[in-house]
Amino acid sequence: MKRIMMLVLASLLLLTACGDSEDSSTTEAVSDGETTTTQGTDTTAPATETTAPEAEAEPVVFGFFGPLTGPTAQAGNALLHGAELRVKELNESGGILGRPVELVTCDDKSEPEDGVTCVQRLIDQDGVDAIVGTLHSPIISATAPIVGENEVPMVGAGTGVAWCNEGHEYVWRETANSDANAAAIKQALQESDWSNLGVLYQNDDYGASGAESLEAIEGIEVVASETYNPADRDYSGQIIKLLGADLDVIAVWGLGDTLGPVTNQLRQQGWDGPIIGAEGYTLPEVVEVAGENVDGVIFASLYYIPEEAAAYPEENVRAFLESYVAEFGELPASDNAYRAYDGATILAYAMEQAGSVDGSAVKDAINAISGLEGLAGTFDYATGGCEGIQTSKLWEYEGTSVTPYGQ
Amino acid sequence: MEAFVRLVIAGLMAGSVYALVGLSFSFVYKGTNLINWAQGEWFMLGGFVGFTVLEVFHFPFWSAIVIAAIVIFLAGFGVYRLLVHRMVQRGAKLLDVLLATIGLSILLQNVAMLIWGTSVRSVPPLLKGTLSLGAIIVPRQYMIIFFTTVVAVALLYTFMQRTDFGTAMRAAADNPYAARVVGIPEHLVNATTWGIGAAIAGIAGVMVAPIFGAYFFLGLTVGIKGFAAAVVGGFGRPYGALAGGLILGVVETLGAAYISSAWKDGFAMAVLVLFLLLRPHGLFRAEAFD
Amino acid sequence: MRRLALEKLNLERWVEPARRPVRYGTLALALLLPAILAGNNYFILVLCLIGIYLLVVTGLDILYGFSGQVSLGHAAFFGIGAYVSAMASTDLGISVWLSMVLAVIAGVIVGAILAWPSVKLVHHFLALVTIGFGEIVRLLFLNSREVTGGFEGIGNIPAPSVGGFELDSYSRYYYLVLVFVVAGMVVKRNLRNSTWGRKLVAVRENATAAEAFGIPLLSTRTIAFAISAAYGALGGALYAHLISYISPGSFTFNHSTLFLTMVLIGGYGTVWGPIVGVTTLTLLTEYGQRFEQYQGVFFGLAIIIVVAAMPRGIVGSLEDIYADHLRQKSHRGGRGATVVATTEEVDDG
Repeated sequence: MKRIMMLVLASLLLLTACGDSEDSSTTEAVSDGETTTTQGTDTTAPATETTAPEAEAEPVVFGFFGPLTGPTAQAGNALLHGAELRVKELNESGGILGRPVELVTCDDKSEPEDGVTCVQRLIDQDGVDAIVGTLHSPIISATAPIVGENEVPMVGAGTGVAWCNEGHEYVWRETANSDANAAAIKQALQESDWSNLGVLYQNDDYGASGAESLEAIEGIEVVASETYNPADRDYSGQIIKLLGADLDVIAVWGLGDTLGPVTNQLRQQGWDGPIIGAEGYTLPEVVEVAGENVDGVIFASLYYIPEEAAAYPEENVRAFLESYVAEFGELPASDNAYRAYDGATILAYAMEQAGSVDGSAVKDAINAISGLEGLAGTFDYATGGCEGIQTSKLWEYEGTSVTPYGQ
Repeated sequence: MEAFVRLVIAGLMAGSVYALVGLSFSFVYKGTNLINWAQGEWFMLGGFVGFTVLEVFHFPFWSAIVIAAIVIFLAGFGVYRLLVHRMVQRGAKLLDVLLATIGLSILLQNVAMLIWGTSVRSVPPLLKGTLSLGAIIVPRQYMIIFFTTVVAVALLYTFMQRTDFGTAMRAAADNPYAARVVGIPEHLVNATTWGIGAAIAGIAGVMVAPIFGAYFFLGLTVGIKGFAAAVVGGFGRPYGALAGGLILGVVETLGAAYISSAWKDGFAMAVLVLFLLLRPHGLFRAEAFD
Repeated sequence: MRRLALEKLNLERWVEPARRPVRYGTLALALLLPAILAGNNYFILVLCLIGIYLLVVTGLDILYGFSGQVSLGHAAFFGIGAYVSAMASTDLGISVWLSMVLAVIAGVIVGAILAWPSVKLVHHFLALVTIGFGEIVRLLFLNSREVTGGFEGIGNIPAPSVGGFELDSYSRYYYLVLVFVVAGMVVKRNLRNSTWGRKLVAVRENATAAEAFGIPLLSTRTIAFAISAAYGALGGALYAHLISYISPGSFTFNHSTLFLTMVLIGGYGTVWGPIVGVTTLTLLTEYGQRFEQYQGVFFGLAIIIVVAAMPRGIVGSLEDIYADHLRQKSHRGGRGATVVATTEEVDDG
C-alpha cells in the first residue's frame, strides 16, 4: 500500500516536473463580453480575434499578473479588463508590427511569492514579450529583478514611490505615484489657505507611501498623523486623537474597503472640516458606503469613475469608458482599469517604435517616449526615467457626484 | 480631558463587540466543552444577513436582528449536527474540533465572498446622529451596541443558571453520561448551544454593521479578539467575556491614541499574551492547564 | 470483508522490502529533477519553494506531530529567519552563510523564549499565544522602518556562494535547499526514534503520566519549540536569499494557517507527511488557478474533511491501515502474539 502510494507520489512529482503545459497559463477572465485571453503556451494557436493581421504571423505575447482573487480582487480584475480591452483594440487595428496580440494571465493573490512564480511562469512557460504588471508595489519590487534578468519589459500599476527608485532597468510606471498626488493635494491646500494638515493613513505599502509623500512635500505641515490596520474597522481611537489637534484639513490615504467606514466615522465623530484624499476615493464602493458623507471631499487622482461614461470631461477617456461598457457590461470597478489600458498602450507603442519585440530594443524605445497621449495624460519617459507621468489632477464630490476641482 | 472620555467610550463600544463575540465563544465552551473557531465568521455573516434584509428587502431594522438571529442560529445548529456531532461520536477531542472549525472559518469567509462580493456593504444605522454631552460627542449607535451587550450577558447568565434548559446544558457539559442517564437529550442540547452561541455573534454583527460595514474579512480579526476577550476574562464565564472584551477595547483604543496607532492590534495581542503567560485562568478564574 | 481482502494481500511482503528502494529512489529522483526539467526555471523555482516550505512544515510537525502543541504563528519564525538573514547580509555586509546561521540562532532564541512560559498551556490557549506572537512580530517588521525597511521591505538580498561559485540560478539554489531538506528530515527521523523523541511523544499522549514517570515537561517541550523554530528560521533565510526581496506581506497569519494545514493534510508525526502535505497544497494552488474564486472554499472544505475523516492526514491514515493490517494478521496467527506493530515503531521511511 505504501509502495503504491510512494509510486503515485513519485509519478505525481514527475508529471508536474515534465510539465503539463495545458494547465500552465491562463485564468478565465471574468467578464460579460468576449475576451482575447487565450491559452498562451503554444505559438501554433492563433489569437481568437484577429482581423487585419496575418493569421500565420507569430503572435506578440503580453503577460499579465495581478490580484484576481483575495481582498483586492476588484481592483485586480479591473486592471485585467483594462489590459484586455487594449489588447482587443490592438488586434482590431492590425496588431503590433502586423502580428496578432495575445494576453496570458496569472493570479498573484496579492502574495509576493505568487507574484514571483507568476512572472517566472509567464516568462518560461508562456514566452511573453512584455508584462502588464500588478498593482501591489512590494510585488513589483519582488518581481523586477526577474524581468530585468530576462530582459522582459514590465509596466507596473502600483503607486508606491520606492520601486521606481530601486534601479531596475526593465520596469516603468503606467500611472502617477503618491508623490504626484501629494503635490496636487498641496496645491489644494495652498489655494484654500489650509496649513495644519492631519493625516490618517492605512498601515501598508499603499497608505504609508502616501503618508510619506505628504510629509515630504515642501510647504505642507503635517501636524498630526495616525494610522490604521487595513483589516480593522474601528478608527475611533485614531480619529478622536486627530480631532484633539488643531487641524484645518484631514487627509485620508486608504483603499476602497476602508475609505467608506473611515469617512463615515470621521463625520460621525464630529469632524465637519474638509477631507482630502487620493485615488481611493474614485472607488464606487466608497460612495456606496459613505453616501452623503463624501460631499465636499477633495481628492487627487489622474482619473475617476463617473456615474455614466458620457459624464466624463475628457473625450479620449469617454471613448475608453464607452468601449469598456460595451465589452464588459458595466463601468470599471476601480481606476486600475485606466492604468493597465495605458500600460498596454505604452508597450505596444514602444514595440512599434523599436520595430521589434526584443526586450532590450523595447526598453530603449520606452525610455525615449515623450509626448505619448494616454488616458492619464501625456507620458514622458525620456525625462522621467521610470516615471512617465509626474503630475496629477484634483477633483471633488458635490453630493455623490464628482466634478473637477474648483468648478 | 474630553478626548480621554471620548476615547474610553469608543473603547467600550469596540470592547462591547469583542465581549459579545467572546461571549459566544465562552457560551459554547461552557455548554459543550468545545471551541468553535468560526464564531468570528458568524459575526461577519450576521452583518451580511443584516445587509440583505435591510438593503435588498428593505425590511425594518428590528426584523434584521430577528432574521439574523434565526438564520445564524440554524447555521450554528446545523454545523453541530452535521459536523461536530459526528466527530465527537468518533472520539474527537477539543483540539480536533478546533482545527476542523478553523477550516470552517476559511470556508465561511470564502462563501461570503462568493455570495456578497469583495466590496464593503453598508447598512444604515438604527439610531442616526450623535449624542452630545457637553463637548463629548457619542454616535447614537454606540449606545445600542453597549446596551445590547450588557443585556445579552445578563440574559445569558440568567438563562444558564436559572432555566431548565440552561441547567440541562450545564449538566450535559459536566457529565454527558449522567445527563443521558437522567434523560437529557445531550446532542440536541449541544446543537442548540452551538446555535445560540452562533446567534449571539450574528446579532452582534447586525448591530455593528452600520459602523463597520459588512465585509467578508471582518470575522478574522474580530474573532481572534473576541476569543482573546473570553480568555482574558476567564474562559467559559459570561461576565468574564464582558470584562475581558471591555478591557481589550479600552486598552487598544487608548493605546492607539496615546502610544502609537501603528501598534493598535499589537496592544490587544500584548494584553492577551500577558494574561496567558501570567494569569491564564483569566480574571474570573477558569481552567487553563493541561 | 475489506480486512480479509487486505490480509490475503500479505501487504508486508510488498511494503517492507520496498521501504529502502523507495526512500533512495525518491532521493535519486530529487537529485535528478533539475536535469529532467532542464532550463525550465519556473518549475525549478516552484520546487525550491516546495523545499523551503517543506523545511518549515517539517519543523512545525516536530512541534505539533511529536509534541502535540499547536502553533498558529509559525510564519513569525519564518519571518524572523528571513529578516535576520536579510539584514545581516545587506546592512551589515556579513557573508550569506554566516547570516543564515545567525538567522537560525535568532529563531532558536525567540522560540525558546516564547516556549518557556507557554509550554504548560492547553491547546487552544497555546494557539492563541502563537497567534498573538505572530501578529506582534508582523507589526514589528511593518513598523520598524529604519531597521527592517518597514512596508518597503528589504531588497537586493545577495545569493550565497560556495567557494567562488555563486548560487545565483534556481537550479543551483535547488541543490542547496535539497541538502537542507534532506538533512532536516534525517534529523527529524533520528529525533523521533531517539529517547528524547519518545519522551516528547509520551508527553503528547499524557502529560501528567509522563511527568509522573520523571520526564521533565518544561524542558522537553521547550526544546521541541526551539528546534521547530530553528527549522522555520532556516526556511525563512533560504527564502530571503532565493527571492532576494522580502516584505512584511509574506509573513502573515494566513501563512501560518497554511503551514498548519500542510501538516494536517499530509499527516503529522511522520517523515513523509509534510512532503505529501506541502506538495499537494502547492500543486493545488499553482494549478488550481482555473478555480480562482473557489480555491478558498476548497481549502476550507479540505481542512474540515481531513480533520474530521482523516485526522492523521493522508500519510497517517495509510500508515494506520497498514498497522491495522499487521495487527490483524498477528492476531489471527493465533499464537497469542502480543507483539504488535505500533504506529510509533513502524519505520515509515
